[in-house]
Amino acid sequence: MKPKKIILNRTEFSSNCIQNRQDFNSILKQIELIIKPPIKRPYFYGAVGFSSLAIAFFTLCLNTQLNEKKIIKKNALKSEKIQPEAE
Amino acid sequence: MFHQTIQRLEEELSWILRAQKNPESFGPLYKKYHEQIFRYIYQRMNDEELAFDITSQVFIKAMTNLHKYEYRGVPFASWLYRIAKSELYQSFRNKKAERTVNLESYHLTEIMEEIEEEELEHQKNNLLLTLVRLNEKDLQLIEMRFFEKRSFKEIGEILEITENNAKVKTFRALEKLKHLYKNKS
Repeated sequence: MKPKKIILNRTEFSSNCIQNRQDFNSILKQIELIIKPPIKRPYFYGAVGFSSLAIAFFTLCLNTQLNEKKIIKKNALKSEKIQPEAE
Repeated sequence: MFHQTIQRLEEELSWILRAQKNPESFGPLYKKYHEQIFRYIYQRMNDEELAFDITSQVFIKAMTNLHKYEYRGVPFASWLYRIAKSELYQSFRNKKAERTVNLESYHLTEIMEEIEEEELEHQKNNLLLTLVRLNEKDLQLIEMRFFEKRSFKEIGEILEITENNAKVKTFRALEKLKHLYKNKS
């Protein structure tokens, strides 16, 4: 990379001027956003909430299916028991 | 400012260790090095707002990577300068900033003396034109040594080379400048 410009005798900033531009608080705020633990980030709760809902939904579906299977099994057993008596 | 006593370095290390646990403790280091880092960046570009932005980015990067910092007996500033260099060159690559060489007239006179040339106005212009023909590494060395007046020890620490190597490389850069200048003249 070659320099494009050469500037001779540019007016430099005074130390005061540079010090007035110091803003450690804004740096800290940006750092907080970057290194905030996941548990304190709003999207974490979104993800957790979504996963909880999904898990609840699947558990419910699974439960319903299992219940249905149980009922069918029970009914089948009942009908099996009833049939020999009728014979 | 750059070279410090062992006590100062140890005090600085205690600030760093505290800042590794709590980012708010980085305050004294920010206050101490903000101006130096800003001047290093602004020396190589000509957009003051962007220079302040890049300076902030340097400190953000330093604070977020502070857990990786290892004390090697050199001032913390050398680590900050390396981050500044990387951020600066990233901005050149992204074309956000334009590589600029800033110097004073007396710097030219000093270089003319180093390359054993008489100081004439048209020769100064030739020297300026020759400076931009140097490759980036050589230009950096000339910049740090002659325009920023850094010691070889400091240059070595910033570039992660020994003091002696910094001396040799700067001498070679000056020789290249001399060669290019003579060819141009």
